[in-house]
Amino acid sequence: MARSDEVANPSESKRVVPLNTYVLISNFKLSYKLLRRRDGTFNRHLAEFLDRKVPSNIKPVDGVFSFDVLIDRPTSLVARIYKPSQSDEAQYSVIKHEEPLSSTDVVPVIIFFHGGSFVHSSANTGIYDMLCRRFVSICKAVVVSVNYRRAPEHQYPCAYDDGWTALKWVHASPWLRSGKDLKVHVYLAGDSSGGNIVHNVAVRAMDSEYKVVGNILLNPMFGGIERTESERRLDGKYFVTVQDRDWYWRAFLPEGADRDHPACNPFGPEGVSLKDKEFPKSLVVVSGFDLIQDWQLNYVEGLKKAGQEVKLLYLEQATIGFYLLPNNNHFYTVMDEIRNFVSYDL
Amino acid sequence: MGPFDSVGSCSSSSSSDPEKSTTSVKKSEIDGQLAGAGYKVRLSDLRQVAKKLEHLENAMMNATDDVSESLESSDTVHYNPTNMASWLDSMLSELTPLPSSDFPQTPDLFPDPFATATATATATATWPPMTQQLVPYAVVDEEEDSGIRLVHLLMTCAESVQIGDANLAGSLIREMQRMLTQVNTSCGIGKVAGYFVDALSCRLFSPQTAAVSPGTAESEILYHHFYEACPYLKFAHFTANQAILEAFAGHATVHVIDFSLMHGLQWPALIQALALRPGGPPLLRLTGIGPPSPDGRDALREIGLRLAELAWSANVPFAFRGSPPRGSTT
Repeated sequence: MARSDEVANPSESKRVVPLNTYVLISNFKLSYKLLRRRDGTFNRHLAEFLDRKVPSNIKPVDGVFSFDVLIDRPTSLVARIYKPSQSDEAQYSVIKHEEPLSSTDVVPVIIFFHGGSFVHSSANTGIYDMLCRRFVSICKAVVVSVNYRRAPEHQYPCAYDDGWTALKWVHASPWLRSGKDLKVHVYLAGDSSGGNIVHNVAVRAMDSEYKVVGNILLNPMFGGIERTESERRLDGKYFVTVQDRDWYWRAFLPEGADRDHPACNPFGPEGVSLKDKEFPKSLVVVSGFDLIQDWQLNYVEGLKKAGQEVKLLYLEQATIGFYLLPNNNHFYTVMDEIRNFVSYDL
Repeated sequence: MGPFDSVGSCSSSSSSDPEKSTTSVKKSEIDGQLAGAGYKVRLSDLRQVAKKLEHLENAMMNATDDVSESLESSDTVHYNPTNMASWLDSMLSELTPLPSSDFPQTPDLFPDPFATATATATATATWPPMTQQLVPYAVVDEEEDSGIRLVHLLMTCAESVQIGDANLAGSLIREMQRMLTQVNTSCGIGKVAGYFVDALSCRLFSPQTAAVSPGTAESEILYHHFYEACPYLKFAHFTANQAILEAFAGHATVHVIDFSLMHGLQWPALIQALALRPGGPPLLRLTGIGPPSPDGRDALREIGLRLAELAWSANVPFAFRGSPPRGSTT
């Protein structure tokens, strides 16, 4: 029986994004649908086969090189590190990687959590490798892209635990220090589920010794039991449906939990107050064609009400994934904002 | 390291620059931005691929069963997802009841889930950005290419040395030496290739009777290193020892005659295996035949003594006899 609750309006999304973006995101949309089973399980083998991955490259390409490190052996937690380099030579030397990034200038370290609704993609997925390289070039930063454990095989709180482990590891790495005071200057960044992870790791870091200077959330994944106006209005119109959002929350949240669980709805009925807490400043990017924007705007309001510093960047004509290809104005606007957000006045 | 070990990468290059006049954009060029994401789609095919995506979406909506389940039958063949057009064709033919008219030729069956993308790419946007001019492109890792070429040349050179074509071998060696200057010879494929090129050139250019040959002691050390580093000899010995153990089962006194003792590296493993034999070790007699040492040392006796010591520590009753080959003077 055909699904009457799905609305396929390819013409709408096709009108608002460049053609190659439409092709890219539609391809994701359809292939992801092939992977989600009705019973809540996931075809992981096919997912890994379909995922386009790239190897790390110790030889700088356009001023950025990368290498993979094992952060935590028991959980096989791997991260891909991206560093800037002026040279063309392959950066083999281990010694060089143990020195601080700089003893004069501050070099921000961005811990990045890729998107994929907690289920898809990896740190070595092509689109995210490209994005992290851009962050390095644009922000003159070092990027640590965390290959966190994904649902449904690993549910809440695994992804947050992995983020926390990565944060501690970054703080404990002398070669990530910079500036005259030789400290690690950490930012958390992520898109979609990665944005959600950013918030939750920052919450965990709140009363700890592991400081986070700022949070960058690109189309962060939040939700709740209620159906918001934007969800009803935009359901199925721009690549995403409410039904698939529900599927991913069911996959990630623990058994018996609903979408008002604080991981999903941090300022909802089960949320934790951030008032008077030392919380990083936040940059939140919301797309006007993202059906969960009401939840994202709600998040921004929640931060404001708790007296936390937050900047909202609302992009009216943007869909999800606009930052994956550099073929639109929003891309450049956002990259500029991110660069300003992580730069330091010396 | 870890789960990101790459299996292979190739490159593609193109530019997708709307500012250029349409006549200068070749039809066969692929979309550079999608290439960076890991997908090969020709610029001229973009519209068609978009249509296929729409057809696939409709097919999925009209499918009677859960589409994910219908794909999990063992009959489903999955094509290389990088070639989006052909992948979409294959999915369409899986999901639509009528056979599709254009069946792709070569199926690309389910590879290793950790096989990486077939494009190594990065994108550069000129900075500060000019919105229309977006020129991402894919970069070939020249180092990797040189490494692969070196390996091919080495194989060819080794074959030509084997068949005695000194001219070809010589010119290949010169070419490889030139290439070695362009790769990192302190590690990786460059280091391995460097040693092999040296070895081949020694083989080719050194006279038969070398003025300086390694001394016996040095030879022995080299041989030991080779035995340790390379699995082939050890494996051959292992298999032979297995056969010997089987032949010796149930016997209390056994005798091995080694017609080419060399350094006796096969026998410590056998002695240890016999020591652990259920029912206890037999009395092992070993006769080693080998050439007399050029420098007057009784090499055979020394080897025998070492083996005897090992056998004694393993509680294996052992007797050794060294025997120079027939016709020698000792």
